Amino acid sequence: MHSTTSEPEPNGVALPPTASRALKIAVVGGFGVGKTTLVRSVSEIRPLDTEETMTRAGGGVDDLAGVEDKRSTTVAFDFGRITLDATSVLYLFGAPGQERFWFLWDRLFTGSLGAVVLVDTRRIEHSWYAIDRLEQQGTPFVVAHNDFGVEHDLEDVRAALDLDAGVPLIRCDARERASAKQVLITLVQHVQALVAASAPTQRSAT
Amino acid sequence: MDLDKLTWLLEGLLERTPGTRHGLVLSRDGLKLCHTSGLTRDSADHLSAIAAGLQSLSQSASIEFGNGGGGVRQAMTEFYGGLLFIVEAGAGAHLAVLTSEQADPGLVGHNMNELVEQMGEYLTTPPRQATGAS
Repeated sequence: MHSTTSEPEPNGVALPPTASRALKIAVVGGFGVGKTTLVRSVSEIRPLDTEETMTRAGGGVDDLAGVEDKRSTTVAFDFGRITLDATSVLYLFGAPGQERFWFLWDRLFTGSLGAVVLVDTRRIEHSWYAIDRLEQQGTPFVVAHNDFGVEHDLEDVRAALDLDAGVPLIRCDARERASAKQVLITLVQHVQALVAASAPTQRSAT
Repeated sequence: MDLDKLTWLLEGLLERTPGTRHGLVLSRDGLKLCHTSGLTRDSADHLSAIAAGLQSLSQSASIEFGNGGGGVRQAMTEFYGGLLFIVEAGAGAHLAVLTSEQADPGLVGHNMNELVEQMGEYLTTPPRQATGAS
């Protein structure tokens, strides 16, 4: 799906020597919601590619309803990197969506600053598991509605997901670098707000 | 594809290779095609997902750090209590073998490759969506 991203791959942007804060972010969500596309469109290095052609063995297993054109699927994880400023670098780990790969998720969440849950409203139920798992783990997350050209009222999406009012929900186009970047910024801001709210005394002391 | 024949060939591989425990053929997107009788269905499903991921990561390693000739000869993992070998097996499929720690990696790899040659024609998992007319 290289062709669907908005820009050619800006291959091999060097990490600034001043980079000192590495922040890990997990990208999760159901099968075919656009996790790989998001990591590819936003990464400044050539993303790690573990996409494999979908085979006929998946005929009765991987539900293509709504994504009939999908031909390949992630079997390990996506990895990309984006430099935020002189000192902060985001490392993106995109999880595979199918149930058979869920055992990988906990490892991907380990050490994560937070997570992005991608949602496709045509198959909203595919994202419930990701939200449940993150809530259980207490990992901060934001939800991004990858709109696939179909706009829904975000409050309807929130209701359908039974999403807590405190969790940011935004619209995005995972193919667009600027849009994908905005999702990551929303997550970082959300995490900052959570930290500020939970440790007011520490902050005032510094 | 004759899965019974494949399973029978897999059992044969275990019989003639000391230390081997389980054999599994999987599609490259991580679904089991057939396996030896000692593996439960749940274990076979789990191993299929693991093996597909390992092979895909190995492929990425070969692209990034290999000589450009392309391709993964074999992925091997040595852990406490056993060894896991994975080789490509025909278009769209992989062969995975689990052994005890005592197995001879050279012999296991040799026998796996021999088996792949022997049954290469059976070991294909065509793309789900052929490009162009099908």
